[in-house]
Amino acid sequence: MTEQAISSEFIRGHIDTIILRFLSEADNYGYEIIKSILLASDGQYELKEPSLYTSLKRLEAGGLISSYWGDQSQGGRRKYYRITPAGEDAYRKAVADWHRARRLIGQLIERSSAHE
Amino acid sequence: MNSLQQHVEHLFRGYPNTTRTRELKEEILGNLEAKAADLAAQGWSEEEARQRAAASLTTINGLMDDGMSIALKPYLSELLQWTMIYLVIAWIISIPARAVGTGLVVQLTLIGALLLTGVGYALVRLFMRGETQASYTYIKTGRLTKAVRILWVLWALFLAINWLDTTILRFGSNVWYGRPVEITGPYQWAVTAYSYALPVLSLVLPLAASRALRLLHRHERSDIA
Repeated sequence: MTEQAISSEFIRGHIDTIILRFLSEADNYGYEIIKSILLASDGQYELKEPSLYTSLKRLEAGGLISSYWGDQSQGGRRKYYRITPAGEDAYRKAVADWHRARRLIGQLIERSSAHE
Repeated sequence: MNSLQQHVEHLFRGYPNTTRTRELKEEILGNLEAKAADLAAQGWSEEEARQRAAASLTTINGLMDDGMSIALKPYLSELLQWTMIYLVIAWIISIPARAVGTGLVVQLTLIGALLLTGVGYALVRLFMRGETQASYTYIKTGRLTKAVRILWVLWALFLAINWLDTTILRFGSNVWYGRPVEITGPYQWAVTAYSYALPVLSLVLPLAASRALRLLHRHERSDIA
């Protein structure tokens, strides 16, 4: 497995949270969300379009984000997403869960140097 | 219509023209245009930028509400394996019934079904060898769920009618003419018991169908490479 594939595999379960994070900073539309994630990961992680749409649909169905159409002067319209109060709660909870999980997983997979 | 619009039209070909589809279409087009504009700003030619943008979304399978995209080969392989397991279990259960006339028929039927499933499995492995995970099929889960439910109802009906039939054949004259029930020995007992028990083995059919439904999620396409 390539390095890229490994990181994607790890990230997969957290895409919803990542999108919530970026939307908690500013309302945004699909392509800009992908770009923000790419930039924030220093180019190491590019969210694929199908995953983006799947995740946005799921988040909206769950009431964690809402959407509105932007008014473009040219080209196709952009659908903007905004985080809802329920989304903020879900995001905070997900971050807390992530901290706990990271501690626990680190505790389980890293050998403590004392025993080596 | 520019090449991106054509691409998006192509993606949505064959899907019902609902509000949800129209909105998704417009959203996707807006995003692809933004991506193409961004690529063009990075120095790609207009046409190359559009092509690269279009290449980032080549199917909308899995984005629609009523179905999911399935990796067909591993899905079929696993489903056929499960079916064979069910058939083998049914066959083992029916072994003691061999002594009874209908038991043999049931056993032969099960062996036949097992062979057929085996051949199907071999064909899937053989002829879909070239197709790795690249081959996906769009399955309308709503319809499949309904079909499986109907199959269960039909099966329950089949069993009920079968039992009723057996009961009337065996005990009808006892009820209507007041004749005493005659079960003269252990063999008679076995014949009676098996005539009720053997039809239950057809349970493998709805079981396999339910398995088909549950396996879908295990082989759903994941778009993250």
